[in-house]
Amino acid sequence: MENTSQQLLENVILELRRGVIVLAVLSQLEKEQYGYSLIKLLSDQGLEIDQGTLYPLLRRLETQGLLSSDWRVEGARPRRYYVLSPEGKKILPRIKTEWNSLVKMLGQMLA
Amino acid sequence: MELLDRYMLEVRNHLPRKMKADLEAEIRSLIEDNLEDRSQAVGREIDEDMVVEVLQTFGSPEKVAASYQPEKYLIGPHLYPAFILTLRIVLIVIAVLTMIGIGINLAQSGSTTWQSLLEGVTGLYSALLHALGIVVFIFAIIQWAQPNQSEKPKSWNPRQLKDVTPPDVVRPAEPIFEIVFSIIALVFLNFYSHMIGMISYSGGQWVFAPVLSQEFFRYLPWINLVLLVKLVESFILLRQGKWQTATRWLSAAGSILSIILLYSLLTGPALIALGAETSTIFGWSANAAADLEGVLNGLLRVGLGIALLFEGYSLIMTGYHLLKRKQLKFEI
Repeated sequence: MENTSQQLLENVILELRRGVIVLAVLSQLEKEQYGYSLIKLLSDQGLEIDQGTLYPLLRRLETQGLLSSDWRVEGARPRRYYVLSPEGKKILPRIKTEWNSLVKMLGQMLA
Repeated sequence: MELLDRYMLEVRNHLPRKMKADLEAEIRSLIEDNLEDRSQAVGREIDEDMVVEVLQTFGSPEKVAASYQPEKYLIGPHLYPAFILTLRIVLIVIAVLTMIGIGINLAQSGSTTWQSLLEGVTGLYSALLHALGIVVFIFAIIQWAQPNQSEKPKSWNPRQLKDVTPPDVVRPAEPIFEIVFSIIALVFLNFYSHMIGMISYSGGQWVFAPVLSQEFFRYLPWINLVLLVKLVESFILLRQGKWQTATRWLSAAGSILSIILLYSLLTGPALIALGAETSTIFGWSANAAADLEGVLNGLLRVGLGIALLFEGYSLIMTGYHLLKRKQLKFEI
C-alpha cells in the first residue's frame, strides 16, 4: 500500500514539474544554448530534465515559433544551437506574469 | 565508435523519413556531448563500457525515436466514440442476422444436429470477426485521411440541444390492441381455423369452403408460440406502462422468433389449398382453381414478406433502444 502511495506521489510531482518545464526552458534561452549545455544549465539550477524530454520539447517549441535554431560546427562536431525567436521574446514576459499570478493564487489557496 | 554507429543506425530506422538526417545528427551530437562530459568527469578515455552506460541512460533506439514523434493512433480519441457506437450497432445487427440465418437453416433442415449448431456458431464467429475488421479498417482510413485534429472547441448553441424524451412511456392503447389481436388470433387459429375460407353464391345459395392447407397446421404450434410471447410482452407493458430493459429483450426475442417463422412460412409449402372438393363446391374447373390458388398464395406471400420486413425493422429499433439505454447508464 505504501509503495502505491509513494508511486502516486512521484507521479503527481512529475506532473507538477512537467507543467513548469516549458517556462524553465524558455527562460534559459534568452542566450543561445545547445541541447547538452541547456540540460546542464537547468540541472545546475535544480531542475533535472531527461534528454528524451528536452529535445522533443525544443523541437516542438521551434515548430510553434517560440525558438529558432541553427547548426554550427564547433571543434570536432556539429551542434544545434537554440535561442528565443522574436515571437518567443515577445511572449516570455507574458508567460512570466501569468506564472507569478498563478504562484500568488496558489499561495492563497494553500495558506 | 562502432557501438554508437550501430545504435544510431537503429534509431534512424525508427525516425520519420522527413526528419531522419536532422534528428540523427542532433541525437548523435547529444550522445557525444554526454560521452565527452562523462570522460572528463571520470578522468578516462571514452571506451565501449562508457558508451554502453550512456546508451543505457538514453534508452532503446525505439524509445528515443518515439520521443521525437507525435502520438500516433489507429483510431484517435476524437473518432473513438463514433467508432464504438458504429461497432456496437454493426456487431448486433450481424449477430442477429446470422442467428436468424442459423435458425432458419435448422428449421428447414428439420433436425438439430451438433454439427449444424457448430457450423452455425463458427459462421457467427467468422461474421463478427469480418465485421470488426471492416469497421476498424474504415475508421483507420478516416483517421489517416484527417489532418491533425486540434482541440479547438466547436461553437454550439444551448438552445439547439435536443428535447428530453419521455422515458420509454407506452400508451395503453398499443398493448391493449396487441393483447386483443393476439387473443383473437390464438382462439381463431386453434379452434375456428375451419372457418377461414371462401364464401360464394352458387346454385342459388351461399356456399363456404375452408382454404387452409394441411401444411399450415404444421406451423400452428410455432404461430401459437409467437403470439404467446407477444401476449406476455403486451401484458407486461400494460402493467408497467413503460419499456424497460427486460421488456426490450423480450420484444427482441419475439421479433427474432417472428422473423424465423415468417421466413419459414414465406419459403415453405403453400398455405392455401383449393382442392378438388373446393372446386366442386364452387363449381370451378381444376385449372381455374389452381390459378386462383396461385394468386392467393402469391398475395399471402407478399403479406408475409411485408410482415417480415416490419419485424426486421422492429428488431433493429429494439436493438437501438437497448444500446441507447446502455449508453445513458454509462454517461450517468
